[in-house]
Amino acid sequence: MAVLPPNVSQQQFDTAIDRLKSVVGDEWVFTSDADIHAYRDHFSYIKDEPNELIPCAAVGPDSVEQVQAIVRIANEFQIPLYSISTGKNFAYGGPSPNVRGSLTVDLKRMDRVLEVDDKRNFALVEPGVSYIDLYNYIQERGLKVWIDTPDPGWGSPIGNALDHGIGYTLGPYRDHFSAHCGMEVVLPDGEILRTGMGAMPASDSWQEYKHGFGPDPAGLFGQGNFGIVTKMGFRLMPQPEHWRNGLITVPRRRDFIPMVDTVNYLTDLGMIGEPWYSGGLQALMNNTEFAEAANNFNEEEMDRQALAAGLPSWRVELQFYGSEGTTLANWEYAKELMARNIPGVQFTDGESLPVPLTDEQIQKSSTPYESSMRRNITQGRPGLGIWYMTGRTDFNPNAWNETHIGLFSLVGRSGEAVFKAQRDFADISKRLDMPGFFPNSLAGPVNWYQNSFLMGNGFGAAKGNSPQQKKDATILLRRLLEENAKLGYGDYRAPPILQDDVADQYSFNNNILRRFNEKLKNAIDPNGIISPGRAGIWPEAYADLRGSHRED
Amino acid sequence: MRIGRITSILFLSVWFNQMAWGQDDNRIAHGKRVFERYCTLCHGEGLGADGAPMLPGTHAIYIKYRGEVPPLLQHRSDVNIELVKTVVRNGLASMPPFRQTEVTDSDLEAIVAWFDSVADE
Ligand SMILES: Cc1cc2nc3c(=O)[nH]c(=O)nc-3n(C[C@H](O)[C@H](O)[C@H](O)COP(=O)(O)OP(=O)(O)OC[C@H]3O[C@@H](n4cnc5c(N)ncnc54)[C@H](O)[C@@H]3O)c2cc1C
Ligand code: HEC
Repeated sequence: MAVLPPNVSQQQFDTAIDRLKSVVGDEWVFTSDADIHAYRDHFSYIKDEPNELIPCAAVGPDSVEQVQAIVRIANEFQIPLYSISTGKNFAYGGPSPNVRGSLTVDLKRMDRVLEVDDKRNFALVEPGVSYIDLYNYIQERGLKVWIDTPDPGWGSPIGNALDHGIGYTLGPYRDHFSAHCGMEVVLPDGEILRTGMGAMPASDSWQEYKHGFGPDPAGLFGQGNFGIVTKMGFRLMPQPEHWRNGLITVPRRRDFIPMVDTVNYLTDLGMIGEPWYSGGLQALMNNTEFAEAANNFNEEEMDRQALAAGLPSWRVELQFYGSEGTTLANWEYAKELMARNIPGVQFTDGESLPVPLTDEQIQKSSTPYESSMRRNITQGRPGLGIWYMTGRTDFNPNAWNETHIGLFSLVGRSGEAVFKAQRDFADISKRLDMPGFFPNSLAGPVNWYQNSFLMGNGFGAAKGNSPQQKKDATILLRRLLEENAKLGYGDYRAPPILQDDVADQYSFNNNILRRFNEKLKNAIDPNGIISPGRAGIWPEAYADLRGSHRED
Repeated sequence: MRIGRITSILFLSVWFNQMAWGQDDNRIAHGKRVFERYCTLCHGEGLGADGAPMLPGTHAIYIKYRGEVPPLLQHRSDVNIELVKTVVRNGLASMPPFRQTEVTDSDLEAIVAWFDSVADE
């Protein structure tokens, strides 16, 4: 399986490896197939294919100085690097690079929590610190701050934020990249840059004011390939004293429109945590008459059947952080507003619990109403419970997901926009013969990012695990991305094999965004060694690889 | 003189023994710590997410062996270092592999030492 970096001879490679060993120590340079295996994407669509994104080797530095030395060696030998923090980016390529034969810079050993302040509410961490590690650090010291964790807690604040990942508490913390404050980056020439107040050596505000003075280049390092991030600060939510949730249901399909408007209002006033929307009519899909109506967007008929069955068309679960009194007042206010805007709306009080919740309270999910909310993540408690989604089940004991791919498109944050997207996605999947998991008319949005909706699509592409079936699925997904873009639905994130396609979606003014990024890329990284191809940004040195996955 | 030598040999061997014991204890404690950092959230006890009766690793093993082996790795008598290394380095079904920078081979040996110490109890 051994692969070499593009245009690098075996002899040059061997010399580079020796040099890397002298920097980090023999035991932290990995070249054997056995060791490289874990740097491949376990859930890849192109596993074992000749174009699988396998690194030539991996190197595990333990300090910023070592990262600098690695970058200098890479320049000297023209070896493309690919950096990972915790490397758990499953559904988006896992730890695998954009270019086959890259040298993976594995930052896991740099796992120091440098600071957590629970009066000023921030943390400063190295890349190898996972959400689980940071949570444990805070708990062991009894600090009164929360982290905001993605569903799987084994990823890292830095790796997740750098891929624009999301979580589940209050709006400003859920958007992990936006919640960062200050970063340190090793640039392609090996120099160290600090953003924000980090640019002022004596400043005490690095984790409190992120803009510094003048243009802030921090955005270039999110989904970018302009440097290797070695430290990052994050704003942390103070631990609230109380948490409460409640369920709102509305009878008619069109009630979703004022429901969303009202939730937006509460969200943007900072009164609620993440709203969890869901369709309320899944249970009726066994009824052929209803299924027919749902598949054809026959709204009147859907409403009629919902009413007859006594089921709500839509549900949204709200949650509140604060004191017992303020959470109650906000819940009462939410009810008042909804009742003013939507005839027939109903409310079910959820739970009202002092924070921190006990393990039993976290695990209890069914009372007083059936809830789809995973409570640990709403409490900033990292876990891996979500991994059940990928594995054997009681119904299907001999099957698991061999491939993971996540595709979520941005949709306007309104009921009307969701309805339009439902129809558009239904049309596209019909045209591409790509059935969804359930009819689009019942699909709701996720409100991970406070100010936008995302809707999943494309999950019906995978129809089997043979190499040909996986290839067909990838071709279908590319077409889906193209069709989505024509209608204005852009994806927020993608695995390396689809990053060129997503970058193509952002085509305003003849793809000026990408052209601008590539101009910068060539100026800052003339050898193109930092993660070439990431987010569709190809430096001149590797420009011939643009779109190379499409030909396969 | 003779007595002195014997005592010192005895003393030394006791000391060595204690050192060995101490090392074992440390190794077992280290194994437990590594397991808790990297494995427990899938292979521990307790309920899973979204109403799953167990955590994902525990549940998958329960389903796979239909209850023929205990679902917790540390309670199984058939889990040895070869199996652990193979699974952890290659991944298995929905469990992806772990890198040397996360858990080293000697960490894995310590994990198995912890498994053995628990199984003995
Ligand atoms: C079932 C399931 C549920 C999921 N749920 C969520 C969720 O709730 N929220 C969510 O956000 N994601 C989710 N994901 C996606 C993904 O697993 C997580 O986002 C995960 O946290 C990303 O991995 P990581 O944190 O280890 O980042 P890494 O893999 O370390 O990094 C991600 C990428 O960022 C870049 N990068 C990383 N570190 C550096 C650095 N130091 N310098 C420069 N570039 C760097 C690299 O390109 C790297 O590939 C889910 C996936 C699955 C399969
Ligand atoms: C993300 C969840 C997850 C994590 C973390 C995880 N595992 Fe697993 N593990 C699983 C699943 C799921 C299986 C069952 C695989 C299958 O379905 O065959 C499994 C199986 C195993 C098995 C094989 C059991 C058998 O007989 O099939 C071993 C050994 C194992 N894991 C060890 C570990 C160790 C050691 C760690 C920590 C370094 C670890 N696992 C971390 C999910 C996980």
